[in-house]
Amino acid sequence: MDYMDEEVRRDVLSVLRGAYSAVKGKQFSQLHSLSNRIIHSISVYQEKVLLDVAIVMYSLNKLLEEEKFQRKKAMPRFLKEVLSSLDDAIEDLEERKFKKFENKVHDLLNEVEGFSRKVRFYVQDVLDYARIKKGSKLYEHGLSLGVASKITGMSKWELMEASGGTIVHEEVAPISEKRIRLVRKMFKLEG
Amino acid sequence: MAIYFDSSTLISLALTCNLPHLKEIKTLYDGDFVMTKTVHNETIDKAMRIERFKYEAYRLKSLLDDGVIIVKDDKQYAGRIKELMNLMNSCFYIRDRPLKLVQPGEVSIIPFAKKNDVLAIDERTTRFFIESPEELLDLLRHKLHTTRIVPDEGNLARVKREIGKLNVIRSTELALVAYEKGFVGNKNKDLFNGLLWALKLNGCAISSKEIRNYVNKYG
Repeated sequence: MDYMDEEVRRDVLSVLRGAYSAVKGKQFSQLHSLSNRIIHSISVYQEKVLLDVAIVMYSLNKLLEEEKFQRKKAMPRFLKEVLSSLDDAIEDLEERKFKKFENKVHDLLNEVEGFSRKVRFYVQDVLDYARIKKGSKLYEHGLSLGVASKITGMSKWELMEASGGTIVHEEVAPISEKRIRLVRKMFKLEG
Repeated sequence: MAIYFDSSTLISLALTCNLPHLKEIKTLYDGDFVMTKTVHNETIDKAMRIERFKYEAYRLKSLLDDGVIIVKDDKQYAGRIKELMNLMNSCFYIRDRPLKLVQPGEVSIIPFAKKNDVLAIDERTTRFFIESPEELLDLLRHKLHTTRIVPDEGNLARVKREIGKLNVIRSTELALVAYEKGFVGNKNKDLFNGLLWALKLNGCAISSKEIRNYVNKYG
């Protein structure tokens, strides 16, 4: 990536600064809403690095909020590494060093994955878990299932299952009589 | 006359153990049940590589082995699929950028559909494009919290002209057939309600209000 729209850059910077403060002040629940704040930009720009930022925020929220993980011996070191990487990522983005910024986000993903392995998050990888959640969010925002699947790298199977458990379809238009008449005719049903 | 299945409909039927009912309702239908090679790749090939969905992939594959669903190669329509996808992906603009909303997988069944054919699509975005692109615009504006989404009226009119008359059903309509024919058990409203909720919770685009109407009217 050698360019980022100025509005998006400001948006991502604000999210990263918010994440730094949240981690430093141990206000981990804020990371969840921060991960959703850049969904709009991801929907429009469909850049992998933007998704990766959202994935980092969401996974950090899952790992840091869990009490049993907070007691782990590896936690203080993990927090230190995360804060240092967030700081570097903010600096790179402020200076518009997009390639370096991308590498730093990649480092953050590796740190999250390494820690989640150490603490045995669940059977599922924490990053995949986050990708499915964000994919479901992208679908909610109007992208098709296929586009959400392509951006996140997760299958339609995983995204269908995840989106079914959300309120994404509550705004779907009411029953279409035309569709019912059609299937009745097609399958020769009475009535 | 044929029903062309999108991946989304096959996935919700598979995840809710309804594939055997697809076999039963096929006996009532004179036309073909069809999936494209792209849909085959998204449903069977992909799921075969994921432990969590491998079993469903095998169950789906057995419908192909039994001749319930046939596979058609969409290579012949590659140009048309790309053209349609580009058209649908240049209907809405934000900050002068086109919103890329659909992928080849979702579009691959569309060129096959002739006048009396039917598309089975559980996924919301593609179905909105066919049935009501205006609603899609409202949804995008609402979800992206911006009125700065500008429709390209010319492209929208072309979408309506080219695909707006196609017939679309979802897994829930196929479930209605299975229910009315008694394939899912003895008919009762609660069973029908459970069947529709199972499909909804596994990704079929249907609202809880619509389910209530559906059950009251047809259960």
